[in-house]
Amino acid sequence: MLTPAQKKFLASLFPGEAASFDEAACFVHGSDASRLPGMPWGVVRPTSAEQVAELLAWAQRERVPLLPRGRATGVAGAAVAANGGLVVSLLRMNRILEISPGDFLARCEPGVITADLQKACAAKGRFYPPDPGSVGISTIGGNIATCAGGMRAVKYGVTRDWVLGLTAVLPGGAVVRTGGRCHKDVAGLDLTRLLVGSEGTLGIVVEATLRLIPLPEASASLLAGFADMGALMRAAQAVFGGGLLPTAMEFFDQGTLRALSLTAESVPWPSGTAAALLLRLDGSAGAVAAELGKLDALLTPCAPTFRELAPDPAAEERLWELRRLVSPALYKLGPDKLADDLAVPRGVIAEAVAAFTAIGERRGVTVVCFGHLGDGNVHTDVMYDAADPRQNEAAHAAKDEILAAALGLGGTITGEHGVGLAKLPHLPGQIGAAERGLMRRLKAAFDPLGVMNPGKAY
Amino acid sequence: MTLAYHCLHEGERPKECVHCGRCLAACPLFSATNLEELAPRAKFQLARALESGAGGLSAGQVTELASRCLSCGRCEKACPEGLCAPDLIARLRSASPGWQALVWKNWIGRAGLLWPAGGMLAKLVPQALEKALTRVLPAPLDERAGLALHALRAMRAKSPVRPWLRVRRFDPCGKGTKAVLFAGCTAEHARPEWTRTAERLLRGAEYDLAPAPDFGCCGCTLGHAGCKAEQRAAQERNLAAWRAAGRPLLATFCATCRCGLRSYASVDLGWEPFEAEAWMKAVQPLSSLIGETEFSVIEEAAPARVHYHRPCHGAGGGQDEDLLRRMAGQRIGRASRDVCCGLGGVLQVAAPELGARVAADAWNFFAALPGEQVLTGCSGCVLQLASTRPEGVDVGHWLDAVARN
Repeated sequence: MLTPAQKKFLASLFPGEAASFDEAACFVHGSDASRLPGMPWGVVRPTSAEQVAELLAWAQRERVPLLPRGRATGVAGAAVAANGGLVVSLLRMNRILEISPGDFLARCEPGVITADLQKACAAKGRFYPPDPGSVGISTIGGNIATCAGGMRAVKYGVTRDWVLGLTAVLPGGAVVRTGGRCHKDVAGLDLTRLLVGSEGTLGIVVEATLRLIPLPEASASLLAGFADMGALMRAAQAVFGGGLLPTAMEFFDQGTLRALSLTAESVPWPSGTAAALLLRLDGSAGAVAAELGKLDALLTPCAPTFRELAPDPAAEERLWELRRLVSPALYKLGPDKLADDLAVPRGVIAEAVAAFTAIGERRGVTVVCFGHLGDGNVHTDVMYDAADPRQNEAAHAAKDEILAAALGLGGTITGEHGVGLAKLPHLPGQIGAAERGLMRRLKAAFDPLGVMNPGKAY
Repeated sequence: MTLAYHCLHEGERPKECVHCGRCLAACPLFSATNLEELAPRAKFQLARALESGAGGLSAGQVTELASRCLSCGRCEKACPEGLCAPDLIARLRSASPGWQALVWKNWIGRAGLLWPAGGMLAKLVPQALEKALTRVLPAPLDERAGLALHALRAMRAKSPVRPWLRVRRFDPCGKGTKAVLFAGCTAEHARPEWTRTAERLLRGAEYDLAPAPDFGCCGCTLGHAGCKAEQRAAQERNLAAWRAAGRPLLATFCATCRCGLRSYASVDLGWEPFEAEAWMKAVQPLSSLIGETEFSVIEEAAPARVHYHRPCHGAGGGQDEDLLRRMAGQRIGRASRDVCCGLGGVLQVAAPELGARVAADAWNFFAALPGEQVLTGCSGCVLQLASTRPEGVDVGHWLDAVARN
């Protein structure tokens, strides 16, 4: 709890509605898309790096835990105030500071919505590729905190591949600048990469310098259905075998297709479709048109149940809206979800999906697999009814088994969501004591008193 | 594969907020303030907490936040679960003891903010008004009521928009179809000239325009305010009037009225077989009924630029915008797609300053200069934008721009 003196300090640093301590406001800042509960002691909303520096000096002095927060769309619970603390909402630090077409970079504050930044860059002929499923509703700061991936990762990589530099405030109030405006820079340890994906446990990012590339002239997409996962995997191999590197290669299994058909106004696949592959190509207009033709030709011998070509942005949008809808639509299969974003080596994806589905069947819960086939990041969600004790137990047992199976295949427990709170118990299964000890010593170097998002991530 | 959860669509367990955050991007109130507690997700979280006792929240706190909703309905379109914050809020308001009295207390206390719908509400919910007045106001009743009437009269001032469009040629697309006009509260109480212009357009387009039946308020604002019984009464009255008139075409020129009227079809009002479908077909925006009617611009009265404000309610078809584009030609400036005027029904009573912040967002979008106009097709938007407009910018319904010929 905050003392009256602490509240007084915060109210003076964050005047008016920039600080809230009433229970209702605190309550809604306690949870995130993990739906784990939490009740913070207060919420502050800085508008400048100077305010953040003053806050972090105070927080270290007073040993008040801080929970940085963007739009709270994360599903691993990294923003959940499970043990109280003060929420630092960064939504009011939402300015795009610079888009430099010449230096191929953008500078912005953490509260900028990723899609808004992409739009602003596109207006200047530049492209910021990372596109997590929440791209239209999540912030750059949140994307950096979780090293958000997304659908274009197969060709363009993930958030950390696009961060050139950061300005971060550390507990105690020190402002550090990592990296810079250079696209190649190997001076010193790579603190930028250490901060990206640190889930708010090291400091608060107040400014990011992001790498841009020329905006591709055109893109096109293709959705193809298959009678089973085996046929889909053969089709995916045919695409790479034909020499194509798609911008994105997503897949939906049978359960995912069912959830979408229960949610979307209309779906394009015919009955008899038990798996679907969604691909996107980008580049110059001529190259994209040629590659779309080649893609279609490569898929045709793979016995698709249907193919829908989307050669223009409006047609593409209809297909990709379906993809963005997957995560919320899955609740049509069950009111509660244990979400995992496992990644496995790309060569064993088919084996992994078969293993995960079999675990669900054996345990009597619905397991759905979908996501980033192209880079091995398989979203594996257990849908169940937590109000039913049998299902509750079965779901958690299935989740444990799925994680163990992924690790057994040389995979990771999280490809892009982060560890947060939800995956913390499973981390020792993947990362050894020596490595976790090293992570804790690194955290101590940034945050000696442990005020930054304690109890999360590692 | 087991069917872990197959009963959801049979309504055995109500839909729940999944905290995905899609509604934040859609909510004009959140956009204008960046206050997460005002977003639809927060409202669903709070309502659930109140139900389950989690968080130790008091009903008072939740009701307080419940009143902070524009009832624009944009969140419903963004929500993968189809949850609608205005519906939730209306239920909370309706269930909250003393809510109506609170509404009226504030309504009278802030008489300057009254809009004409208030006059209609006062007529429809007289008991609540009287109760509130006697409880909170020591002064003689009629004096306070006089204050409200005074504010109402002020709203009845003439529209600042001088007509600058003249019908050049009517499209006789009505072909003698029987039609009636649903004018709505604002036109009835404050802007009778809208009704007259609309009637002229319909007659010109050769509809067989019957005298307006005994319609009342569409019920939309009443419903959002949590006055469920009164909303139901309004719906029944309008349906009865439409039936008595022989189920004619029902022309509207207010997007909120049209939205309110169309929602009847999803309420069990004792519809006869296929009657609800006929009702949906009958309720039409005026702008879609005048076909290819041609207009000419009266140069000396026309603004340099005219912007179009798309109302949140019932404007999905974009008929008003299409018509205005056709009428105004090169003069069209910006057309809003996803900005809200910030009127928000009873938010105007509970927290008018929040509505003003949303309106500021809208005005940033238009970037209107003195001498320019913003026209729209919703009574509520007209009044909210008119009361927040920058100096020298006129606001009106597109009907205000149409001259008598």
